[in-house]
Amino acid sequence: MKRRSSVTTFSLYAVGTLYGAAVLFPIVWMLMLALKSQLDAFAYPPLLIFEPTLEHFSAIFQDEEFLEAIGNSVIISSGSVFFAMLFAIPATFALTIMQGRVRRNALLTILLIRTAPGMIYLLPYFVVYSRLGLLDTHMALIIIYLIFNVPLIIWTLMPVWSAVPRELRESGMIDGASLWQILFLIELPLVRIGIIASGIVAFLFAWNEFLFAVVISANDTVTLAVAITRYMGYEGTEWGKLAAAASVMMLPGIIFGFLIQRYMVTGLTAGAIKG
Amino acid sequence: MSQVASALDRGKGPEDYGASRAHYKYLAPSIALLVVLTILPMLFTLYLSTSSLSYTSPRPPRYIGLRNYERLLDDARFLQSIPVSLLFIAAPVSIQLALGFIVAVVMNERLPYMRWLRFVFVAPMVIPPIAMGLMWRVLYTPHLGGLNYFLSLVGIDGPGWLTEPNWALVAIIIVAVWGWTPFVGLFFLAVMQSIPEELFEAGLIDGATWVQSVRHITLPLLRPTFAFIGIFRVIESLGIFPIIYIVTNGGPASATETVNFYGFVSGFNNLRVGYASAIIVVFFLMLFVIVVPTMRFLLRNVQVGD
Repeated sequence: MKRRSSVTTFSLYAVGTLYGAAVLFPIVWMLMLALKSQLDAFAYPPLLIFEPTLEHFSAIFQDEEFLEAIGNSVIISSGSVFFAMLFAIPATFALTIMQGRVRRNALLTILLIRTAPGMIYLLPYFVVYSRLGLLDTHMALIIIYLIFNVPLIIWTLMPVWSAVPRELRESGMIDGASLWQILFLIELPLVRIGIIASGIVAFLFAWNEFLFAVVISANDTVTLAVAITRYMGYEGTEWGKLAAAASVMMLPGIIFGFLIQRYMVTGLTAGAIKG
Repeated sequence: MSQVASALDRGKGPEDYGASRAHYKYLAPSIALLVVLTILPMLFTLYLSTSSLSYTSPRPPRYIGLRNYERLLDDARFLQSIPVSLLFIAAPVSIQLALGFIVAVVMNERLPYMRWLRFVFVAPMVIPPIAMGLMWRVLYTPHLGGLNYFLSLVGIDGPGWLTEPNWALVAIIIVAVWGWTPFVGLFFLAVMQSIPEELFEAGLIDGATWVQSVRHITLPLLRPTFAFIGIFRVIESLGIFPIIYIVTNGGPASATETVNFYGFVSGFNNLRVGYASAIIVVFFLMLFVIVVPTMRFLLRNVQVGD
């Protein structure tokens, strides 16, 4: 409904297009690198048209360490989502019942914990895990990722859950249902979508995480994020493999990202929106 | 305001389960878990920072009081990492907020043929930071990336991105802006879409141009959002790590090392755990010193949550 001059409209298109191109450029460039032969990759001036090759992809999928890393990432990411859900679902339920200052402070504290830089927790975990012999186990990272994934799930799930009509809960109470029954029999089925979306957000967090992974998962439990950096070896970087591996690692995010785009910001927006 | 916000507001039922507090036991496990997993490690870091623990030293660790902290004051590499940390907060966050607002305005206009922008936007949000760093590392690498080639096409003589200290700093800032502006933009967009259309219609009747309505209606209404997202971007920017690790690895000559990065190097490359813990304690204090006044400043007259 807004009145725009044609100059304004033109500028909007220009800014949008330029920005979109700037975002796409590095991604496209890396995908191209993954499909270029070593010779083409270093051609100067850079080749925009070249004969694509799948040699790097086939090389990484024959690399046992890389395949193991995918397995480790899947185990650790799903594990951390599973355990985080056990905590976060009842917590979100309780937070939808709560109100006022207590609820607000609880939510903000939870959010701050998730935002705090991991570095402030890293050293003690390294020391304690090495004494307990937990270094280089799947559980070691799964536990640490709870710090971030429990808050992340709560914040993503919260807006979805708050939208469930309270009348359902109230009629449940009148019929004598316990909180436990209300949670599992009435409300949980209604927030399925939220559970799935927040599960994906949490999965992607663990999948993408690097700082803890590079320290805690040394040999047997190397995750994908860490495995990729191993192509930057001492004998020179294998750029083609590196780019191919990074493209593979991006895949879950790209696929799921579009599905849950809406939920990735709603949690935070809901908290910020009221002025 | 929005559906989401009004939904969040519904904490107020009849004389309800809220009063019984039975639901607290559903929240308690999470709170307990988070306390154990975060507060204990922080206290342990404090303790470690007073010890001489080093995995390269044959001697057993002992209590050395504040000696680690005294050494920090003479450590040029540490002192240099502080302004780097500050730069990596100030520059990316301000650009992310400004650029994020601009692209949100563009998207909010729902221009024909521009829907693809929304999809483009999601990409950096889901791309692992490590892959993000890698993409840019490629671009910055001479020949391989072609960034300087494309710059030369428009008559710019591209710098040695990763070899000149000042340009290496710029290189990191560019990646941070690229990576986190979409999140900020989508965030702004979500809030913009909750602004009632009547406000703009009223503006229109008063003869406001498009630019004026953005300037005088949209922007003021987004002030709380700027505050909220700004705080969290500040905190997260302080923790910037994988990007530095991949793009410059702190170099050249530790020019792009932040405080937490130097803490990482001391702890895990040099294996001086006690000393690294002292760095992390200082890092935590920085977090506090920066975040608390920022919150005060940004949140004046603003309510967060409900």
